[in-house]
Amino acid sequence: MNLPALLLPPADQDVLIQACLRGERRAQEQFYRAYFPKLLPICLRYLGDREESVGVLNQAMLKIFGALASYRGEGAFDGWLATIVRNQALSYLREQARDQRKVVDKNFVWPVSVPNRALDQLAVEDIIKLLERLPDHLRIVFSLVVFDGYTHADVAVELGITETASRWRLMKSRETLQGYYRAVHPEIENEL
Amino acid sequence: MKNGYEERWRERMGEYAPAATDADWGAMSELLPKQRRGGKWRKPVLGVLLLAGTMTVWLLFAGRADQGISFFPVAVPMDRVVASPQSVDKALPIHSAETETNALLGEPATDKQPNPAALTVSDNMQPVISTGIVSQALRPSRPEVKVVPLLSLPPLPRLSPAYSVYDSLHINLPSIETESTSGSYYPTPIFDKH
Repeated sequence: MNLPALLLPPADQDVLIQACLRGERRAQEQFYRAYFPKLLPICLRYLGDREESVGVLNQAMLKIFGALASYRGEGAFDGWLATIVRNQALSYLREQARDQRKVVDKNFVWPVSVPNRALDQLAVEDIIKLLERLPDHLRIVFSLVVFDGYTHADVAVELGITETASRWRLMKSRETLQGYYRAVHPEIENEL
Repeated sequence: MKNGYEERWRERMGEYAPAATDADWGAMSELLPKQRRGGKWRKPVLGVLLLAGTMTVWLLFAGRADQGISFFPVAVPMDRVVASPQSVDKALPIHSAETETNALLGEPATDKQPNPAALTVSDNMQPVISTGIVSQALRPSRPEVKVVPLLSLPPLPRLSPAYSVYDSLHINLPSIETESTSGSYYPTPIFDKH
């Protein structure tokens, strides 16, 4: 996955990394605030809940601060960061083992920001809300394939499942998302 | 396109950049290890203190090591035990038999000679008792003094190492099996009763 250009130019980034390696708290805060906007959405895609995502991101940041010295400059720095955050989120989900989260939630409220629009017109917050409704095992595959550009072979290796299972989970997540939408907006079924 | 919304979702998620709040950073800072204040000078100071402590301990033990094992209280062998003349004098009866005899005869008391008992004890020869042939220098001026050394030794402290050695000299290792030990596995040591 390619992150958009980060806020810091390379020179400032090197200075900031060196200061973080010295354990300077101000530099760590600046680093955190600089990369937080691009790293939190990764957690949100896998976890949905913001508070939970921030907790996972902070754990990933802790690993990043400890691993900055080992960064060899091979590959893009933002890609290195994204990999650490994504692995942290996946590890968290494995530990939580929340595969049994129910799809149907009685308290589910369809996003009202775009009530008469198709799925492709949803705002980011609504997308995240929809993703949060998915069971973890479906949301993970959906996020890996749709947002992070994983192939089914990559997903199979990452999650320890077969490629067939990965395809099935992606198909199931799409059906679930569309099912949500059709339940509330049957009139736009043809747009899906 | 049936799943065309996914491309739109990907773009929007890519553009999504929520800012970190103070609460987010506060939670993060709690995870970070506590920052050490004054870290620039703390390491050298700690190093100097550690070096000073090490040198102090080293000097302390080096000074003790010069004294060798004698630094510790070691039992003194019996033949090295020397009863000081002062202690012997104190142990001697103030009015000896000779003094009493002189007093009865009305003669003045003789001058007190250097106590040969100390010499007798120090070299462990007991010349007066064992041989009966005593050189003039060792001849005691008072015959009754010959029994003094054993009596005049000051009582050694019960817990001192010297006492243990002194006491051990009176222990005879068992060489024969007595009736009391005939049925036991370990022979009972026989103690000399003095």
